[in-house]
Formats: sequence, structure tokens, C-alpha cells
Amino acid sequence: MAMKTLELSLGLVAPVQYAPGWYWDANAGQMVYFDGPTQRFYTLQNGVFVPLAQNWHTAPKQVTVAPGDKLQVTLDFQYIGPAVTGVNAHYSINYNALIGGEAMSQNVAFNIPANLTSTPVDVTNSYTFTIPANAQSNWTDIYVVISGGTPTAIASQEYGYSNAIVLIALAPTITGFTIKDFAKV
Amino acid sequence: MLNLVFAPMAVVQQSFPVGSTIRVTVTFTYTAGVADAITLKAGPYYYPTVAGLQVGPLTMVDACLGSADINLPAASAPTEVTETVDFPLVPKAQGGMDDGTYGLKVWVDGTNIEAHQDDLMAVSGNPASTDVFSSILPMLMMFMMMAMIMPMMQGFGGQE
Repeated sequence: MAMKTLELSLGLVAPVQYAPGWYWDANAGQMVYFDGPTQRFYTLQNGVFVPLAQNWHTAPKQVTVAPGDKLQVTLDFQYIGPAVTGVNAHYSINYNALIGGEAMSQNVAFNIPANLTSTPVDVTNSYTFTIPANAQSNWTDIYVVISGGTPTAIASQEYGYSNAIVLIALAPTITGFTIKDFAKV
Repeated sequence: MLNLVFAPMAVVQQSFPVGSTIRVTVTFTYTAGVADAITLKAGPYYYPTVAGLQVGPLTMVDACLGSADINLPAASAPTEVTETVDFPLVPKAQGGMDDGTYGLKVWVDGTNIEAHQDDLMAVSGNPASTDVFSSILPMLMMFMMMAMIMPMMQGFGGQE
């Protein structure tokens, strides 16, 4: 069966001792604010601080998969800080991004090497889903959350792509059902 | 700015004599991981009314339903298909439909996929009723009511 890939970029990720204040997220091309009490990054949108985690993003591409196919989801982020071991990456395939229904998911532990310079380095991790036979055509979204680790836990970072997957379910999926004409025969 | 939107025209009402066979053409788009088959069903419907007021939900005329089995080859890309399904306009005398105006509904059996439109078929041609009992029933009921009421009226008169 075919192997398909999707990549998600988490932007700038920091350990908890990151100082509160504004930072330039070169990956996303925007200023972000790290809040000390909540230990999260925010963007300022129309005067409102919006947690980066709550943003669903339009997928840069759509991947068509069918039951039996393998879908590799790769996350990528930039990092400055000490080494962290046992960071948890939660990968999920979701239906209906607004409600956040999780169709299938997997936790993967990984380590982040130390980067004690002032230049962020890329860190990547990935997980490969095997699309099950009971997959439905509304499984269209992917979501990744990273958090935790020792000795300095990573603040929760989330990122999602809506409409990233076109899932060809085994059973027919019918749309646009209309009466075109009718006549006596 | 002038915005123009082109949309498919809704099908319009047609008249049919009872006893006709009607062929409905439907279009839809599908994807399927493996080849599969569906059953299309179609038929006329009405909304039960009393004194011109709707008193019930969409009700199919069961005697007039038609069906067609459709094979759908595996399709990984959205594929548009056009299919047909036939159904008969069974006369009232054979357990079918009265003269009148009916809606048309088509659906994929076993799913909630359907299309319907009210008042699409004006059906006529049922033979006039030859049932003597039905024609005299209103008059008969009036006589029966009078037969019940008259003794009561006489009873009231006797007490005076």
C-alpha cells in the first residue's frame, strides 16, 4: 500500500524557563508573546491574545489515502534550550476540526538535544498511521500536541491542519445527489 | 459589482395519466475504496391533510415504489454518475394512488442520502367511482342522525 506524508511545523518551541516577552517566530514569520503564568505562546490578533495552540490551519496540501495506506505525519519545530528527554508527541487523525473529534491517535516519546546557542535549531519527529478498514470519509484533519519531558518540561504546543486528508472509505461516499429529470416511459 | 450565479434549474411539474411508468434520472458524485453496489429507490409522496391542513409527515405511496441496483466501481477521485430508476403510477383501484398532485422522492436505500421535491407530478385518470354506497353515505348518515335526534326532541317536548 502507498505511503503518504504530511508535515506540521510547530514554529518556535521553548522550555518552561523561557522568559516572558515578545519573540520573533522566524518559522511562522510573526511576533509571538510567551506568557509566564500560562507557559504558552500567543499571537496578537485584532487586540486579542490568541494561544498558538488553538489555531487550526489550512493544510498546505491534501493527501488522498485509503484503508491500508500508511500516512506519515512529521512535526517540525525550532528549539533553543537545554536537552529534554521523554517529550510526548500526541499524533491524531481527527474528524470535524471545530469539535475536535479524535478518530485515531498515538503517543510517541522523543528527546530534544540541547541547543544552548542563540540560534534556533530544527527538531523533527514523526509517526506513521496505518489507515484502518473502518476509516470514514470525514476523517479529514490531523493534529499534533507536544508536551512534557525532563528535567525541564516543554510547555504544551499544538498544531492542526483541517482538510488535510481526503480519505477514500471502503464504502461509497455520495455527494451532490439530485433529481436531474423525470419523464413517462 | 454584478455577481452571477449559475445553478441547476429545479425540475418542474408534469402531468401523467395514472398507470404510467415514470423514469427518474439522478446525478451524484461518489468515491469508493472498493467496488460496491447501491440500491436506488424512487416514488411519489404526499402530505396527509384534513380540511386543507397538513396533519402528517411526508408519506410515500408504497404501491408505487420502484428500485434499481447500481454498481459503483472503485473510485479514488470524485466521480460523477447519472443513473435512472423507474416506478409505476398504480391506479387507485389496484391499491395505488388517487388523482392529485404528488411529490417525487429518490433515495439510496439504507442511507440518509435522498432528494425530493414537492408537487412535481399531477396525476389523473382514475376511473370515476362507481361505488353506490360511497355516494349515498353522506345522505344516509344525515338520516341516521335525524333518527337519533328526533326522539330526544319529542322527549323534551313531553315534559312541558
